[in-house]
Amino acid sequence: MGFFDPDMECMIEVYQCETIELMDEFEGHLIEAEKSKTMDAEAINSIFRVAHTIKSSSAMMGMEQMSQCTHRMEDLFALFRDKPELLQGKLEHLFDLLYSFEDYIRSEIEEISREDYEQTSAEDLIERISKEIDFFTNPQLEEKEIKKDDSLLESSLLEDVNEEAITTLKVLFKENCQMENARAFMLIKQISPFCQFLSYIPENLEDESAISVLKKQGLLIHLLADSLNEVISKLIASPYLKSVEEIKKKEEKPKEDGSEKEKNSAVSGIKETKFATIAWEQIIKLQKLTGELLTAENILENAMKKTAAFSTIESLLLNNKKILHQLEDLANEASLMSVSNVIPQYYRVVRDIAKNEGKKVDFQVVGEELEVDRNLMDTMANPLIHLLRNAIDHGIESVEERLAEKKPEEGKIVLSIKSFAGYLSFTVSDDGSGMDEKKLLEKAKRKGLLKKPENQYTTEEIFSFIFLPGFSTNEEATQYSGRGVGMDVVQNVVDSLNGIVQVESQKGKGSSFIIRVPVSMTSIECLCFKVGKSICFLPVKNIGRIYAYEELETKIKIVSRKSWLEAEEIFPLLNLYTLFDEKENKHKRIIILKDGSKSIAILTGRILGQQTVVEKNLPAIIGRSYRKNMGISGAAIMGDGSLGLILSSQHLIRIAQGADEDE
Amino acid sequence: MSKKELKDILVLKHGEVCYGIVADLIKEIIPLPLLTKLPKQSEYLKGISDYRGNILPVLSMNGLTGTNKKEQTCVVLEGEYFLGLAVEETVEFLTESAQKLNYDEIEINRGILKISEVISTKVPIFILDIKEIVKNILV
Repeated sequence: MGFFDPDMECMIEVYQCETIELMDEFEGHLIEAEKSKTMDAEAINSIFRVAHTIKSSSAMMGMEQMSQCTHRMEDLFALFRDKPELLQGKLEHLFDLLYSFEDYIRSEIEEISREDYEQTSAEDLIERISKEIDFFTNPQLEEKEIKKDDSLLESSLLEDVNEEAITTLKVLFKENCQMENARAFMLIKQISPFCQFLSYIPENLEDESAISVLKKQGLLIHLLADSLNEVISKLIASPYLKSVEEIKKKEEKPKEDGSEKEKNSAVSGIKETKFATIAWEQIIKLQKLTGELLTAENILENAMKKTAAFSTIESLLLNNKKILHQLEDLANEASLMSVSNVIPQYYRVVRDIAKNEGKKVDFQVVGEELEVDRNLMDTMANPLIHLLRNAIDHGIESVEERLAEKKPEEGKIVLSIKSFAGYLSFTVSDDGSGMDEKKLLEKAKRKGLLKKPENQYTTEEIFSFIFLPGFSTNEEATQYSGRGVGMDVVQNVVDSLNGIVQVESQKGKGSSFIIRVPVSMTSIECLCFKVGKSICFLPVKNIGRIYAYEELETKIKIVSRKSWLEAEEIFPLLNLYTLFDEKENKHKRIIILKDGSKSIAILTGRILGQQTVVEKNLPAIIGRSYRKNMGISGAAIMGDGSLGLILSSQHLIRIAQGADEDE
Repeated sequence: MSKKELKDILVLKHGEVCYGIVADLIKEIIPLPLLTKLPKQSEYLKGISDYRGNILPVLSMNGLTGTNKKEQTCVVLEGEYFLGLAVEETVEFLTESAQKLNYDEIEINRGILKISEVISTKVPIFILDIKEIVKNILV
């Protein structure tokens, strides 16, 4: 029999989900505190609540070790909550304990899904926490703690807050505003980082019944903030707001004691709802089904075009299409999540590795506010973590070396996430030692990887060695990197996403790894053209201009069959007929293809028009190298049941440039 | 496949030769669907096709065995290997008990095929080792 009673088993998932969420919150506060080197009242309260909740739920699940351990943590933070001054100057040495606590909870939570789960002893941890409590406490406090128990939780939150300083704001929404509760929820989320204390009425914003209250009375926010103006300007900037006014008299003071806990947990627990995991699977299905529906619609439309009745039903079809596209947008939107949700993991990785290596690292993230496809972010996690590890391990020098180089003691690593024109870029850059071209080349030579004379290698080609399996410049493998596995894994993941990796590095100055991946969309607006027998698609966003080839052939614009001149600019010319091994025929066109800063010209056949297509991945049996070499990223099902090839501008550009270099 | 692992098989005829595919792998048997050729595709691949919203790669038995027969049937495989196999025709379904294999394993030709002889059908049936095939033709 398993560890849990059969009637408990249905609770496991909820318990896991809830606890993970709470630990995310916990981790967030830790990272924040470690960065700012202080822990504010809100964080202390929040950690206290986390410990308290986990303690209760673990006890309910019969997990005594977890429960005892979190109980001690709760005691510890009860101390700090009552006397925040205890923490002054003592915070530093707590972090290791707090992180081990987190690791223990997280590993237990993961373990409990196993059938043969047994509790892991937390004795060590409990002892460590108890030591801290002894360190911080005098005996009376502990006693008081036990007596106060739960009731303390509710009343305590206001204790530290000077009630006089609380400002009350009344926010009214415009009449045409829909979903007032959600808007209110968003508002609270926006301003919560600026407030030390925050509560609001109505409380049950997740509930639709709040809408009528919001319509009548508006949203009342009680808050304590350093800069009230900042909060108000945040509020005013939000759409659908009619007015924001400050109410001086405290007529609506929140007094219902019991509700305090709920309200506050609502503020800090906004990140994700409890059922996000379940909803996520459904979202993927929804996205997939929407795609199917779009394809079916295309097929139907094509079939209808052949019938006499088409003119009468054309408008109906159009309407269908409109609804379908709305559905698609919705499905895509639902699959987005905020980057800030996953950033704590990265902080943690950087912290742990840096600590292990004895290096000092200042880690910064740019682009936390972005909303990206959750699937994509999950897939990118491993490559990014690997790059971060590399940056600390190989990039950032030891403190002594840095000081000798006259660099700041603390190494800087920046993870920046940017979104532009259908692509997401992830950049990991460090201000470390950079890569040594000579060393890389020597190593490649030793490993017998050189394919042409040494002096013919460009910087870019030399850097690309590191992506080869089994290539590692560090002579000794460390715990986290240097075994030569990894960079090729990064490359593989990026390949599978149809993306590219770029390396920029300067010896002594640091390195940057730039990954660019296309944002996955259910459907893509494409230009459709023929190359011999193949029907090809290229995303419209990458198309610059289109020329008729014959017309221009006479105007000596084509410098050679390899390049193409437009407005004094020379583009590499990629002949798709040659690439696809097809015979050239009449109606040739030249398309200027743009992707980021790079442009090439491609020679194609007749243009068939513009079409919205749903991209399908090619089966694995058609190897990745084939796809790369042919510039094909996927296929689309056409109206008549045949398939069109979706080309990737990134790959085509790479092919065109590769062809150039061979010359 | 070892001797002990007798499984139900589907028997196909391609030219004069009978081939067998382990029935567990088969999703369905359909008429050869409309195929789209990939540029510079390998000789083993007959083309790709829309199979209920997914892209089905269809392998050519002609390409695999170096024959030139009229391929009109497609056996769709699922599971680890989602692919179609274009063959001349399917003959019968041979249950485990109906097979009396005089197992005689020989590796031939590009390591693609493994042979075993079935006495009851009077002709030998070449059992296709899909894993081996995929390994050999992966571009």
